[in-house]
Amino acid sequence: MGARVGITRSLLFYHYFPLWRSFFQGVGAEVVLSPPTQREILERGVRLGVGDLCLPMKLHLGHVEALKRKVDFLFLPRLVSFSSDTYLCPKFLGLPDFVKAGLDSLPPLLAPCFNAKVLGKGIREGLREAGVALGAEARTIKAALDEALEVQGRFEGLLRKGWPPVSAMEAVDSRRRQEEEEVGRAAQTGRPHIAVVGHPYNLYDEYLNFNLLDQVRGWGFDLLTPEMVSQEQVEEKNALLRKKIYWSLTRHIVGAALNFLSLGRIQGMIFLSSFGCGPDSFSKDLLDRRIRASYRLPYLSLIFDEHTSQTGLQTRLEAFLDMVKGKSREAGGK
Amino acid sequence: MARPPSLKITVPHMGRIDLAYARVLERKGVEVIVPPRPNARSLKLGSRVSPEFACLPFKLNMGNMIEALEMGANTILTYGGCGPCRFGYYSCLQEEILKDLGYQFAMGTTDDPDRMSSTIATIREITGISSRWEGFRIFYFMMKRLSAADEARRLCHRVRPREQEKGASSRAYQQALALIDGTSNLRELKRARKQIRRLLSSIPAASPGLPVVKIGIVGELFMVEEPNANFEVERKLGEMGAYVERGIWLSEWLNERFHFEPWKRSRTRRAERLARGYLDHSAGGESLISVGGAIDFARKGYDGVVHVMPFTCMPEIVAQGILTRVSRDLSFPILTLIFDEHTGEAGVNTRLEAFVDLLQARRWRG
Repeated sequence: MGARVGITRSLLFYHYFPLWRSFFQGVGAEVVLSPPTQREILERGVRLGVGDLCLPMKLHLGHVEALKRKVDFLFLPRLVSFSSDTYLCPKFLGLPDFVKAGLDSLPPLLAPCFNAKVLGKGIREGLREAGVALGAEARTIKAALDEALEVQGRFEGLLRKGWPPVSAMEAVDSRRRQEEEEVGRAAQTGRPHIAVVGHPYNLYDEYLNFNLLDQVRGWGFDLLTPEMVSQEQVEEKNALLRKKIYWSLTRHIVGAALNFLSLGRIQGMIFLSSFGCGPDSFSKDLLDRRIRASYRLPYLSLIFDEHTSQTGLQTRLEAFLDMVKGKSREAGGK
Repeated sequence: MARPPSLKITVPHMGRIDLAYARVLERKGVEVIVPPRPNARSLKLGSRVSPEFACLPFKLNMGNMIEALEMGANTILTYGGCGPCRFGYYSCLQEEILKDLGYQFAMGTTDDPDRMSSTIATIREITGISSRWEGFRIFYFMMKRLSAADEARRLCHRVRPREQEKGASSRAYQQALALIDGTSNLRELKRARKQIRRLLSSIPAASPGLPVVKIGIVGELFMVEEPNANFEVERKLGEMGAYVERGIWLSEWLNERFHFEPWKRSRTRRAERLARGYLDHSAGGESLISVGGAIDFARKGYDGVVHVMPFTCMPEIVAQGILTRVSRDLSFPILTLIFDEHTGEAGVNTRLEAFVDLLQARRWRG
C-alpha cells in the first residue's frame, strides 16, 4: 500500500495525533504532516479564509494548502461530538465542507464522521471507514485500531501528568517504546503554579502564541493546563453551573479552570483565546465573572488575531508575570 | 393546579412570536409584559452588558429583557437548546449578567426545545390549566396565529414590488397582524385569514417598469425574522422592485421542532438533499437551510439570494464559506450581509441597491 495520508499540524492534532498516526501506520499508510506553523502558512490561511472565520480555522486552511500536493489522501475528520451531551463547535461539524469549498485541487479526502451521539459513529467506526477507504482488510484494520487506542490511552495519560503534547507524542511513538517513568520534560518541579487555559490549538501552537508556555516556565512557574484535569473533575465543576457547557472542548476548559480556582494552588491564570471564537466569547465571560466575584487572583486574558504583535503580547505577559511574582513575594512566597 | 400568583411574564422578541402568545395568555388571565420591538435603545442596553463578541440576537434579547424588567416583569421565559450554536446557552449567561446587575426575577427556559410537551407543560403551569388537551389546544392556536402572520407577510412580499402606492402593502400587512391578534379561536382565525388574503390581493398594482427580479432570503433565523435588526431588508428589496421569497419562516421552524402539524413537508430535509456535495452535515443553526435553500432558489430560476447573518454566527460562517463556492459554481449571485451593533444602515442600503441593479441588468441581458 504505502499511500501517503496527510494530517495537518493544527486543530485537534494536539489531542489525537498519536491515535491517528498509529492507526494509519497500522493499516500500512505513510503519515505525512504539514510543517509546523510558520508565517507563510498563517498568511495563506488568512487569505483563504472567509471573513469571520476564527483564526485557528484560517490557520487550518493554511496547513491544508501547504500539505495538499504532498499526499495521496487528506485526513479531514468531521468531528461532531465527543460525548452524548456535547458538540464540538459548528466549524468542526462542517469542516470537510468548508475546506472543500475554499480550496482547489484537493486530493481525495478521508472525512469520516465522529459523532458520539449516534450509535455506529464512534471512534472505531470512523477510523474503520477510513481504513476501508485506504483498501485495508478487516483484520488489519482491527489490529490497527486496537493498537492505536492503546497508544492514545498512554498519550492521554502523559497529558494528564502535564507533559506538553508534542513531547508526549514523541514518547508514545510506537516505533520507539520508551519507559514513561523517564522524566522527559517534567511538568512539576515544585515551583509556583500558573494555570493557562484555552483550546489546545491556541495553547500549543508555538508560532501562534509566540511560545507563551515556555516563556511562562522561563519566569519560574510550573504550568497547569486543561489536559491535566480528569473528565470526572470537569463534569463535577460543570454541574455547578446553571447548565453544563455543551461544547466538548469548552466544557473541559471551563471545568479545568474552575477546578484550578477551587484548589487554590495557583498564583495566577491566563486565558488564551483566538479572535472570532464563538464558544470562548461565552466561556470567557463566565470565567471573568467568577474570578472577579470570588477569587482574588492575577488574571490575564489574551486574545490573538493575525495582527497580534510579539512585542505587544510580550509586554502584557511580562507585566502580568511581574505582578504575580510581586504578589507572591508579598505573601512571603518563593 | 393553582396558578402562581403575581406572575408578570415576559418573552424577549423572536420575530413576531409575541403574536403567538401575548393576547392568548392574557385572555387566560396571565399578566404578560411585551417589551418594545427591538430598537436602538434595546441594542444599546443589551450591547453594553453583553460579551463583546456575543452575537447580535443575544444582545437584542438582552436589551428586551432589561426593558421588560424596567416595565415590571418578574419572570422571563426564554428559549433553550443544546448547541452547537450559542443560542441554547443564551439564557444561562443572560441570567448571570442580569443578576449581577442587580435585577430580581425568575428565569424559565424550555431546555428541551424539541419537545412540544415541555412547552405545553410550561403553558399549563403559567395559566393554571390542568387539562393536557386544553394545553395542547392553546399551544396549537398560538402556532396557527404565527402561521397566519407568516402567510400574511408572504402575501405582502408578493404584492409589494408592483404596488402603485409605496407603502400600501406594508400598511395592509400591519392591518393583517392586527386582525390576527384580535382572534380568540381557530374559527375566527380562519375568517381573519380569508379577510387578509382579500385585503392584500386588492392592493392596486402598477404596470411593471423594470423586470421584477426574484430574490431568495436565507440565513440565521433571528436576523431573517427581525426587520429592526436587518434594517428592513425585505421591505427595501420589495420597494426596489424585487419579489422576495423566504428560505425560512419562524412558524415552519417551530413546526419542525414541535411537529404540531407533522404532515407538513420539512424544509430542512429538502435542504439536506439539495446541499449534498456542498454541506454534507448540519453545522448547527440554520446552516443547512442556508446552503440548501440558496441552491433551491438557484434551481428554481431565482435571480439571486441575500444571505443574512449576525457577526460571529458560527453556523452561518460555515454556510458563508460554502455559499461563496455555490455562487461561483452555479453563476448565481449571493449577497451576504453581516450585522452587528456597529453596522450602518447606509452601507446596507448601498449594497442592496447595487445587488438589485446587478440582478436587473442580468435579467435585461437575458
